[in-house]
Amino acid sequence: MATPFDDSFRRRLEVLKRIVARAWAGRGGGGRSPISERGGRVEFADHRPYAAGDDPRNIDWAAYARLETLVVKEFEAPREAHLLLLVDRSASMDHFGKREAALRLAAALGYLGLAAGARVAVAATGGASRWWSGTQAFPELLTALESLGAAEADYPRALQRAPAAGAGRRTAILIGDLYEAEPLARALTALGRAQRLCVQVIAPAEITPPDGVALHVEDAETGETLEVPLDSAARSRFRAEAERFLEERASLAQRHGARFARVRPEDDLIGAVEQVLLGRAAS
Amino acid sequence: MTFAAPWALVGLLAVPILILLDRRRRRPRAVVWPSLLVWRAVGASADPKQRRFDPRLLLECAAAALLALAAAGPGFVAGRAEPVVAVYRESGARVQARLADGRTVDEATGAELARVREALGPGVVWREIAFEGSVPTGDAADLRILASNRADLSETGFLRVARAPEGRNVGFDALVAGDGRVGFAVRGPGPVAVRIDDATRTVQPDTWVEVGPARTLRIETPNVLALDDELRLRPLVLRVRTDAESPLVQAALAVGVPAEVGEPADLVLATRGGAPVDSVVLGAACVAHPGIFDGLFLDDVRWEGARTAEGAGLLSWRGRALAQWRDDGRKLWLGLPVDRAWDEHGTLPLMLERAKRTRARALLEPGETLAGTVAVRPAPGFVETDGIDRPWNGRLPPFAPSAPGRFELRALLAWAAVALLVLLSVRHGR
Repeated sequence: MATPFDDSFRRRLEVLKRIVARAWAGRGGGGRSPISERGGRVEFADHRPYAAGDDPRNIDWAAYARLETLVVKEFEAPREAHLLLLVDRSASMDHFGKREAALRLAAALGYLGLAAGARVAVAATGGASRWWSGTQAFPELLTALESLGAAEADYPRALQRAPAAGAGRRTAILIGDLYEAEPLARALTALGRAQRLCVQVIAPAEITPPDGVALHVEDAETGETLEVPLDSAARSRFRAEAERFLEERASLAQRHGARFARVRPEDDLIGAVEQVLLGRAAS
Repeated sequence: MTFAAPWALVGLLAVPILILLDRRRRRPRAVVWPSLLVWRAVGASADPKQRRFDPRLLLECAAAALLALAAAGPGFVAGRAEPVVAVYRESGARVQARLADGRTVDEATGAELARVREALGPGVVWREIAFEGSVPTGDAADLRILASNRADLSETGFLRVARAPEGRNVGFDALVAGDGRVGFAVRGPGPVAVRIDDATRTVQPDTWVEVGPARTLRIETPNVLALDDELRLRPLVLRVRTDAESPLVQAALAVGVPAEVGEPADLVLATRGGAPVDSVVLGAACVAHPGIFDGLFLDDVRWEGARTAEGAGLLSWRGRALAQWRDDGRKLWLGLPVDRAWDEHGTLPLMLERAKRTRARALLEPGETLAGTVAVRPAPGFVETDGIDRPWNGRLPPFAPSAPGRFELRALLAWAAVALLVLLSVRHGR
C-alpha cells in the first residue's frame, strides 16, 4: 500500500509550517502556537516547612525574616501543551480516499504541534502511541500513524488507550467520517475540559447517490446489506438524508462545546489544515 | 383474426427480450458503502409495489408488440373460408349425343367433372347449375366451370383470358367441352405474351367495310359481325376515332358488351388523320358473352406479314381472322371475313343481305391473300389461360379462393405504436 506520507506530503508540510507560523504571529502570539505553552515561567505555588534534604536554594529567606522559621518555596512543574490525535481507523475510512486524507491531516497537525513545542500523541481504537516532543520525533509519529491497526470507530476506547497527559493545556482532535454519533458524543464528554476539535472527513461521492437502478448496499464495517431501489425519489431522499447527517454531526460537536470542521479527501493538505486550525474554508 | 405476414409475429419476441433486458438493468448492483446510515432512510421509504411497476417498460413493450402485430398485417376475415366451385353444366338433348367411344356427351362431361372434383379435393363447396340454351351467369364462385357441348365454345378460345383486370370473376375458369376435353385458366400475375400463328385467309370482297376517313364516326355494319348475349351473330358497331398525335392506328375490338371497355361501340379504331400507317395496334376487348369472355385485350398487335404498299394486314387469332385492315394514306379500311361456321347459325344470309345496303366495298381483289403472324400481348392484369386444345393432365392450375372481405388492422396498430413511441419520447425527455 502506498504511504500517505510521500515526498509531496512532506513538501506541503514545510509550506504549511511557514503559513501557520505567520498566521499565529499575526494573532499576537509571538509566533507560538495556541496549542503550545512551552517557554513560560516556572510559577510559585506554596510554602511548606523546611525538611532535611530540601534544596537550600528554595528557602524563602524573606519569610524567615518575618516568621523566624524556615520555610521552603514550592513551584509548579513546567506546563506543557498536549495534543492528542484521535484517528478513526475503521473500515468505513477505507473508501473514497478518506483514510489517506485523515492520516495526512493527522500527521500535518502532529507536525505542527511538535514544531510548536507541544507534546503529541496519536490514538485509535486499535492502538495508541506515547507522547512525543520535538520535531525530531516526527518520523516516529508517522510510523505510529501508519501502523495504527484497523478497528471500529470507538473514540471512547481510543481515549482509554491514549497515554495519560501531564499537566498543561490539552487539545484533542478527532478525525474521521463521524458516522457513529453515540461514540463521538461519549468521547467529547470524556474529554472534559480539553480543547476539542472534530474533523469530519467526507467525500462528495459519499453523499451523492451512485448510478444504477437498484443497489445492493453492504456496510463496510458491519457487513450488513440493504437492497435499495434508486428511482428519482430515492435519489432525492438520499441527498436530503446525507445533508441531514452532515448537519447533525456539526450540531453534535457544537452542543459539546467542540469546534467542528469538514474536509474532503481531495482537498489540498494546506487548505485542509487551514480549514481545521484557522477555520478557513478549504479551497 | 388472420395475418397477411404471419412470420412478422416473430417480432413479438421483442417483448420478453425487453422485459429480460429491463430485469437485467434493474438487477441490484452490489456496492460497499462506508455506512448504511443514509441508505436505511432511503430503503425504508421505498415502496416495493411501486418498484415493480415501470410505466416506461410497459410503454416499450406495448409499442414493440403493436409494431410486430402491425408488421404481421392482422385483419378480420368476413366471409366464407371454403372455396366455392360453380359448375354450369349443360343439359338437354345436345348432351345426349353419343361420342365415338359410345358414351354420351353428358357421361363424358360427368367423368371429366369427377376428375376435376377429385383434383380439387375435400373442403370445396361444389355447386352444379344445370342450364339449357344460353349460359347462365352471375353466381359468385371461386372457380367457375362451364360444361357444355356447344361447338362454338371451344372455337372462341374464351379461356385465353378468364379474369378481368380488376380481379372480378365474371368469366369461366375452366371448360369441360362436349368431347370430354378440359381446359383451365392459368392464373398468374402480370402480362403474358402470346404469339399467334396466323392462318392464311382469303378475304371475301363483300366483307370489307369502309370505316371512313380519320374522324370519329359510328358505323353499324351487318357484314362485320359480333356475338350477342345469346351467342348469335349481330352487326358489329364500329367507332373510329382520330388520334392526331400518334402515327399508329389503334384499334380496340369490343364485342358484346361495349360498356365493359368504356366505349359505346364494338370496335373502336383510331388513326391519325391522313397519315399513312404501316402498322396497327389493335386493342380488342372481346366480350362475346359476359359468361364466356371476361375480356380479351389484344395490345400491341402488329402485322408482320405481307402488306400492300399502302399498308394492309390481316389480324387473326386462333386460326380465325378477326379483321383485315388497310390504310391507303387517306382512308382506313377494315374488313372482317365471314366465317363459314357462322352459317350454322343462319345469320350469314341475313348479314350478306344487309351488307348490300351498306357502303361496304372491297379493298382487296377477290382471291387476294394476306398472310402473316400476329403477336399478341395481353394487357397487364389479364391472365393467360390454358387452351382446351391440349388434353388435361389432371393437375389443377394455381387455384386460390377469392379473397373474402377483410378488415385490416395494420394501419391502426402502426399508428398506435407511433403514438406510444412519441409518449415514450416525451416521458424520457422530462
